[in-house]
Amino acid sequence: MTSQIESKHDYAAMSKAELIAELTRLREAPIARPIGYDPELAGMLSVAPDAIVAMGEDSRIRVFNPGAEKLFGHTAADMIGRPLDILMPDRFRAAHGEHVMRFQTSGEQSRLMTERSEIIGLRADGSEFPAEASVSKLPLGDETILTVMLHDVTERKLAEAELVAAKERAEQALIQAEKMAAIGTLASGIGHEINNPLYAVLGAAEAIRDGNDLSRSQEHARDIITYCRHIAEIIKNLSGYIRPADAHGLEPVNVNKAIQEAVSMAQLSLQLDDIEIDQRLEPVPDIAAKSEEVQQAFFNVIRNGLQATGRRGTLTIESGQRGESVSVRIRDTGPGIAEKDLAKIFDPFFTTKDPDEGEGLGLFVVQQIVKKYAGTIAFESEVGQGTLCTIEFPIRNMTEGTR
Amino acid sequence: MKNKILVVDDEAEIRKTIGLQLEGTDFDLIEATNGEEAIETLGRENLLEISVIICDIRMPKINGIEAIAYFQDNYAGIPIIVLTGYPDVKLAVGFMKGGVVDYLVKPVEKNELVAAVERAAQKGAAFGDPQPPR
Repeated sequence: MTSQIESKHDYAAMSKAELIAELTRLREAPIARPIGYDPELAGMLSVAPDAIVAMGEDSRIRVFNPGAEKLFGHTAADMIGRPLDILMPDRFRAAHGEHVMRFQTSGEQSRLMTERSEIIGLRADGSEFPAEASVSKLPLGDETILTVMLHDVTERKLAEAELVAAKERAEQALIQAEKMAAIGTLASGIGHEINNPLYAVLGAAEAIRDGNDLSRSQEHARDIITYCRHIAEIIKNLSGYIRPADAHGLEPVNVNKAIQEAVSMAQLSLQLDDIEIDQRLEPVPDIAAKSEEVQQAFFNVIRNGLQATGRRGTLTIESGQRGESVSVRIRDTGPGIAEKDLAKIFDPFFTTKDPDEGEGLGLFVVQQIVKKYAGTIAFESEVGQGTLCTIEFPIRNMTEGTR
Repeated sequence: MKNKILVVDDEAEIRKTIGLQLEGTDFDLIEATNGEEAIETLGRENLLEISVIICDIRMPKINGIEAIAYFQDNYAGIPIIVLTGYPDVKLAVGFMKGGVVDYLVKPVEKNELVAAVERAAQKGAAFGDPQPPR
């Protein structure tokens, strides 16, 4: 593009101070010639590695440097005099016009355009690319020239997307790992819960084997059936929890059911001698989530509450609809959380428990799960006053079911 | 004549199963649903008649760990069998060191339970009569 423009100076060889002086001179020069035809500036623009496109107040391109030719695949000869917005996809043109107007009338001298919105460039071949762009005003005579500097950030965007995906995978893996750790502590509780009816099955079967009274044998057989149903119920409650989380997508989740399952699991994994669990669950609409993750979130909070309560006390669980959310309040009568600890409860590996009681990932995972479904979680506590955890999940579409 | 076994378990089906497995032995069962009830029962019963205590661990009110400690402090002569759903080695070792004669994990077969009870009863007989609470 610069073939018809001769530079009087070798700008590439100038120092920064010299360039500033030169620019000042140019800016103050009482000239009204369009920037695209200014030989000094054109020389500078031709050596810049970035794409530089300048336009006049008529929004038509005055400068299209070699960097821009390379980036967009257009020649300067084709572009000079064309409207700037042909360098962007249709869908951005209207908004772009507004931005330009606002910038032209604002007091700002320059702005990083990417702060406001993503910039997408349109190449000559119709392909698009993400770009980072900054824009500056350069008053020249009566006119204000807008100079846009762009560079292609495709690779950086890809790297960012990979990073986000990796982070999501890592979080998912952590949720799963924490779940497996919780299952470890559940195992002995499950053992207890299943070994009891299993023992009763064994005893009844032995009695049938060793006895010869038909009506008593039938009674034992009926008992065996009852015990087997009990075992099946225990396993059913757990199977949802043990499924890997990413095996299926979002589904309508009944929060009350998730709470009840979480409570049964907590009862299995802890020795709840004299803790009363008071469930006040109102019918609520379904939320869109993964049921085992919601269950895991409640399980972790309920388990914490029960562990905090110690041998005796009450854990109260309330649910209900609050506006467009399903709200769950879990309150324990434990010793409460010290103010200094309250700020840290969501930090991974922060724990006040004994090492064999938990590694400090419980609430971190709860927070990840709640955030994932656009919910909120908050703790209120004072030493000696117990702790209240409030979790809210937005009600989304896919919400026809109740109860 | 010692012929009573105190069964301490909160689950009715477990007490019933122990009863079934010990049917045909010379032992009669007395039942308690938790540690507190067991302590009350021992206070009422003729201690000379009680051969063995079979005690669960996970129970409401006074749990097995506390109840067993109380039995050992106050009724040192009565042999104790732990019968639990928890296969917990640490807990088992602790109990055995503490003088519990057997640690059985449910489900336990009839022969095994009967043998354990008879072993325990012999130990108790050899040890002599239990002392009343101090």
